[in-house]
Amino acid sequence: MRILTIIKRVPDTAANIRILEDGSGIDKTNLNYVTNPYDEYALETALRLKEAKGGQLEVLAVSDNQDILRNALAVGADKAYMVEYADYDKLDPYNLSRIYAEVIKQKGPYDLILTGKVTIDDNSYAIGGYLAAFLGLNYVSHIVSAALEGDELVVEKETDRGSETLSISMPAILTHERGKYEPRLPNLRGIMQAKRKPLDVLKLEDLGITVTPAYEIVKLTPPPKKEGGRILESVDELVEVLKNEIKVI
Amino acid sequence: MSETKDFVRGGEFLVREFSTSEVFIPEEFNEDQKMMGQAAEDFMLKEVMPHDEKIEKKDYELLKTLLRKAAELGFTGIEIPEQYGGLGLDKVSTMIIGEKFSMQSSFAITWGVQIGIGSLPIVYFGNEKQKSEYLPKVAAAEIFGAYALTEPCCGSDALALKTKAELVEENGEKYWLINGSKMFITNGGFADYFIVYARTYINGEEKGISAFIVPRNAEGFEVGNEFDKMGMRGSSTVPLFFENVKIPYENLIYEVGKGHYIAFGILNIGRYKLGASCIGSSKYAVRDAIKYGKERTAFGRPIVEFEMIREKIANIISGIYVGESAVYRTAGYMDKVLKGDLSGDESMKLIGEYAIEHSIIKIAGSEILDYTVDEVVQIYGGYGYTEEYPAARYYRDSRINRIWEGTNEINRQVIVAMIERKARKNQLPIIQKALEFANELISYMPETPGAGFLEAEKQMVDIFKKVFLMTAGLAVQKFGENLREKQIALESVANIVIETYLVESGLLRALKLKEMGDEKRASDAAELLKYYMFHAIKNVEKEATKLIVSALEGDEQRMTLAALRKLFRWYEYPNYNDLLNSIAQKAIDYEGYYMNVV
Repeated sequence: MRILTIIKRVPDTAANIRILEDGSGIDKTNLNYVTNPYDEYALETALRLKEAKGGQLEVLAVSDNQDILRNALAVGADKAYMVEYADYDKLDPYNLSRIYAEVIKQKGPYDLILTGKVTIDDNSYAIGGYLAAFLGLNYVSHIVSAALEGDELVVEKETDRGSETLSISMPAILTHERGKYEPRLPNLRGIMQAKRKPLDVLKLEDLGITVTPAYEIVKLTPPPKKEGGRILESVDELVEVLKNEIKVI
Repeated sequence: MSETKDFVRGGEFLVREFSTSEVFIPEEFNEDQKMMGQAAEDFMLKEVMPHDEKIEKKDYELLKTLLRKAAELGFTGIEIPEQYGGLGLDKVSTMIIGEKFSMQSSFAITWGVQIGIGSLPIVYFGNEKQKSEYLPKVAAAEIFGAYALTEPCCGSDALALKTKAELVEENGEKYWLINGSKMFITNGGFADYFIVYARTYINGEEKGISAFIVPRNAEGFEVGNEFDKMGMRGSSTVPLFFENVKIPYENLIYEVGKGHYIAFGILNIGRYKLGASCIGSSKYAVRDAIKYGKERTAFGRPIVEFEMIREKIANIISGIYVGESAVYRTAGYMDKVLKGDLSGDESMKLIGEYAIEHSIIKIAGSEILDYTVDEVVQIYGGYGYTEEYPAARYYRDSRINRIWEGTNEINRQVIVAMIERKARKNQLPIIQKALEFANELISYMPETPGAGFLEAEKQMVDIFKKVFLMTAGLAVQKFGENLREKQIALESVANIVIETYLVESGLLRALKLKEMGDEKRASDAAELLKYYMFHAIKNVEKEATKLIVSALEGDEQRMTLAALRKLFRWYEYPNYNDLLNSIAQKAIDYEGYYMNVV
């Protein structure tokens, strides 16, 4: 079985994100980057499928830095592709998906494609849908686990009212919710071995596609500052405030 | 002119100018090193920190479980050669990992003993049988080791130890009989074996100090109760008692009477690793304090807006910058000479070449951290004095670092003693350079430096080296044979050496960043260096003055002090207030030490 996991490089979820004064972007000075957390769940599921049934696991990212791909190789992926693109973080999901689809067409076929349900930097849920449409694949979103039972791919998916267990025929694309299993940490030996695994760097020209971004980021605005609380002297005052100031009673 | 050499001698920075190509800087970490640092941080955050409270209540089983988890990822094998089940990592990698593990001090020291003093005597000095028997199990955290040097009588004066090992031969059997006691043994509460130093007797004759492996289950061996410590309360610290403990002859490590050689070699390693871990702790502590200071308001403003708070932040950040630069510069020297060869007596000699630098980063790291945690408590104010916030814990956990691995007082003596030895062996031309400079001191006039990037600071580093030559020369000349007793003079010389290494490491890093074309980082680094330089100049002046007025009187004193002042007079200080506000603001925006690479 050949599996592809698509991962995206995003600012560290624990980092203090600072917006540039002119609002044109974020201040990237000394900013730490990580793999999009939902993509990490996708990678963990892919690793488990590979470990259970064998096969080849590849990873793909559009980026200007190989670090997250090296990490994926360190935890057990066999091969990586990086499509070099400097402003990958500003690229819209439609065009990003076109690039992914082109790599899949040229490097595939894959039995299974996995990625996160959402990329946390731009809060976009679109990649899975676009890819399914571009490539004509079966698609299940928001899965929490996947397993092969014989030749059958069985996935569990979360819904508002509980969970669904689905059987899906491959080739297929799955997008991952926060999974049932925590993504594994790379071990040091894996890190040392990762550099001996293949990592192909591709350019848009090599893929034969051009990208015209669908939109441009006009302005970023930080979330409003939390206002401090206020201590009132008496219940009467509280009633007064609720009635006349906030007008909720 | 500066020269580039492949092999840099320990202490050589005192006698010549260094070029940027001779130093390793954190910005040169390779991809593996960065990934290992990230992996270590992730391990700490995901596997260790969730158990923080329980660890602090001292739970041996939990510590052992966490060590086994660390082992699964390779973290307990980083200093063990590959053929014995380890990874044999370079020194830079081990220091990055050490910085990250400092996130939880009690666990960090538990791990530190397992991979360090608890097993390195076997890595470097063990025979083939000992290595293959112990090291794979240490790497896998199947067994746990501890290191027993200190005794109730003797800490700093370790070689005065009283524990005895007598060689007994009876019925064709040869064994050691050990009697005595040990004090403050980390991991002793659960260790499976102990590396024990004892005064050795063969046929009633004293043969010096030797090292032995003592299994926990040896008859007559007893582990005492846990100490109730100020900090690192989750770690195990116990006394040990030996009453006619019989161990096989082959449990001797290395050679009879060579224990002091093992002990000092292992201490050297402990020192540079402690320096790295203190820098790591400082980063975590200042991060928390800045976050708190941004939230906490007084007089209607966040307290990080007040200059007295900002100065503390700038002091901490600039201290971390020079300390970190010195740590990785030293690691770079060792990696260069070791070339991946890790174990064995030869490697130990190569590591020992940098004993001066190891003591410097041990002292600097622990003092930067102690300053940091003290001011972190201050930033937290009254809450910092409670255990509800992390400040008190940082404060308690830090304090031991100025005491163990050789007190900072002992390490200051080590610095001067090592310099003296290298001068005597003609490994460093210190005597000749000191004489040369003594002759030109009165007429010496520093040139006016150019206005280029850090040219003035570069010249100031050169001045520091001249002040070192002047004070060291004066101390030798005035106190001669009696110098060892003149501890305050030695301390002054050591402090000048420490400042010199710190500012030069910070300078070379900034210059190298500039050469690498990273203008933004180079300018941030330059700013930190200039700010630190202010404090370093004042410190070097003070230490030199202290020595001069202790050694000289009357006209001689006045003339020498005037010559000292002349060495610094040309320097135009950048605006201190502007520098501190700029540094503090960057740290506040970033919420921590902003020159971090991993």
